[in-house]
Amino acid sequence: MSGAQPQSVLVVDDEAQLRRALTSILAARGYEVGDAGSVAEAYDVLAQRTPDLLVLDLTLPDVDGIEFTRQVRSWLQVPILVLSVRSGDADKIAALDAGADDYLTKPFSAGELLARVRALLRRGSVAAPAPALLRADDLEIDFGRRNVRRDGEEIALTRTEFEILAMLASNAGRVITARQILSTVWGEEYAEDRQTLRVHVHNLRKKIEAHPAVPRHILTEPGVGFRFEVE
Amino acid sequence: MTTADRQVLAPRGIVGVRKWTRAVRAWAEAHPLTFAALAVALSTLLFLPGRDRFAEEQWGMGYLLVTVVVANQAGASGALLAAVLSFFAWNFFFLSPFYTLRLDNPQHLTFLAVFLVVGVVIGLRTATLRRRESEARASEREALLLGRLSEGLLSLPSIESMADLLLESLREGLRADDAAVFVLGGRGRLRAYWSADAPSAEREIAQTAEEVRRSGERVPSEREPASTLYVPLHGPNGVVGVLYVGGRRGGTYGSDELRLVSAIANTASVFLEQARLREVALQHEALREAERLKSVLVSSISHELKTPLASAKATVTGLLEGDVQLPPEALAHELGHVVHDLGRLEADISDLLDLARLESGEWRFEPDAYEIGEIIGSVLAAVHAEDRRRIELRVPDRLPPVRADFRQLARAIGNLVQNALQYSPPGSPVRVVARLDGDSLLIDVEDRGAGVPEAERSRVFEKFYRGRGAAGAGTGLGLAITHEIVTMHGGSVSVEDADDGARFTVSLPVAWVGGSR
Repeated sequence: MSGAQPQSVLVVDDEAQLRRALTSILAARGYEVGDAGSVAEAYDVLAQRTPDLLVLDLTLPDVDGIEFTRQVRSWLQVPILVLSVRSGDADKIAALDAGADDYLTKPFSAGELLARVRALLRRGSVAAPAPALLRADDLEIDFGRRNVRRDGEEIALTRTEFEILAMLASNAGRVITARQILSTVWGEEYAEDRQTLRVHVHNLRKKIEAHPAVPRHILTEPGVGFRFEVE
Repeated sequence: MTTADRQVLAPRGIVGVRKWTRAVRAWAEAHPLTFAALAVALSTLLFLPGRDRFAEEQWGMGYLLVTVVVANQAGASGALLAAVLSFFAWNFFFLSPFYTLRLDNPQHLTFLAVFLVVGVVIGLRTATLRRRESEARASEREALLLGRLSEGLLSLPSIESMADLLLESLREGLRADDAAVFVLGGRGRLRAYWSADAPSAEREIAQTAEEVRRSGERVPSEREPASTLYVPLHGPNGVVGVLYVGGRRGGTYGSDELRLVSAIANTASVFLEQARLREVALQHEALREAERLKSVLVSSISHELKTPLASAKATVTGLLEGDVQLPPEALAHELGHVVHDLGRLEADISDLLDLARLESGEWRFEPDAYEIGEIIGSVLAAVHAEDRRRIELRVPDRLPPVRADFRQLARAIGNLVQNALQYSPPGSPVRVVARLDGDSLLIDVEDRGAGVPEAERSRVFEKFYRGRGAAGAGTGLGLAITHEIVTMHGGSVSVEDADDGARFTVSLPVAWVGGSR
């Protein structure tokens, strides 16, 4: 993929006002923006060209947004950013488990939107491999050597703890559902074992957080999962 | 001596005898003439072997006794028949010549005549006395029963307990096999409360009760003795219920029982009317409160929502006028104000939606064991980076977990933190402290603001209450939401003076899960 070509974003939302706002924010940053007011329209656009990112509102007039996510996931690897309202927790989890990559709660600011869009496009881009080393404030995570330092001191993590941390940190700023962590680290058959995950996260926090009682890096997203934050 | 006294004084051994005599009396009452005939016949058989021991005339006394006994057991008609039969039996068996109605001694004719008159008079008199006594006893029993009933009904909270008491009174007062109370409920349907051993013919009984409700007439109507009774309960606007009294072993219901049932029915009607009035008063009160809240809500909302909207609109339209070219920094400054207004609008709408959800029960309470630091961490993540620097944390590492709905509790604590940041001087520190106090986990949020005057402390958690110092933003719902959520968690929230500001404290019960932690 050549660096000169602008990255394209498809916005699927039934509210024209929001579509317009998103289009103007993204277009102003040099993204090529297409928009669709319904799933049917979205399919028309997708038939022409595969975008680099899909921004999808969960409430659509013709097909349920979660169902659409599932359908898209079955044949496209494009990252999906889901927009939802605050009360729709169950929808968020369902969308993430259906294959969405992140969500934004309405109303959101342009800054939040752009941060998520950039993060997803960076990840989605084959040209940019995951960094071998990640620095997050006082933490330094070396994915290649599989070790973690805090303020230069190496921290001893178990294999499971490292894998959880690696998964969260390489998706920094993005919520990862408990199910996603469980099925990646332990395997699909453990996908519902939330209690185990919480115990491991608790231990992990004790090791990596400067102040484990009030975690600043591994934040709980209640009812959904966890998010790695870099201040 | 009263019935009650007798019941108290009766030794246990006599109970069987009393039961037996009561059975005899009941049979005698039901068949007075047969009883009289049998009594005279049996007495005659008893007297005959001793005929020679007493003078012929003396047997008259024996027959007089029989007449009195019959009068006492079977009443007036039995007494009359007993007197007449005794008259003949004495003549036939004991006055010579025996086994004829002729008399040897003319004087005996006088005896017989006097006997007949005396027998009839004593018999009737005894019967009258006995009737009066049993009437007095019955009305005393009724008075006791009704007294207990109305006393009970006065203190009863619900229709269910009223029905229980009514059923008990009906069964006890009327010795009925079964009974039921039908109460008119919503949508004009009768709701049935049955006595413990409900009869098999429930459906038929309910149907008859329904007819009685429609007609407002008792079944059967007037006087005739009946084996079942249906009595309507009359309210001011028609029939409000029906009493049913089922079969009675060995008898029917006469006018006495009817009177008692009517009295019970009247008492029940008064209770039902009272209950209805109470209900109406409560509804009225609730409506008034809802009305008041609605008007407060409307004025508060319209003010709170319109203020930031108006200021944002004014700013944006001002920028669009195009008559003044603002330099980029000034433009950014103006737009910053718009963002602030929109943020306020968003917060207000969230408050309203949250409160509506909490109150409608739509926000399901989904508790789990969490460490309070986890929750405080998520609260801080939502605070503006600039404000976050103002927050001083004191959260010890080893605190027991609390049972909480993460999101709700984060909202509750977040409101306190936002409140503290907002109502204290810019840049002043806000302290968030978690500590253990016995079985409670306390979370303090302290600011260096003006504090909350003592007089307002109990009111700051009320909906729409805004303190005197609360100029500017807020629907006045934030603390009410916190209060609602904390209460749902089995905890409490309070406010007091801190060193130089206010200290809000949330107290939550500790969840000791996992035992060994």
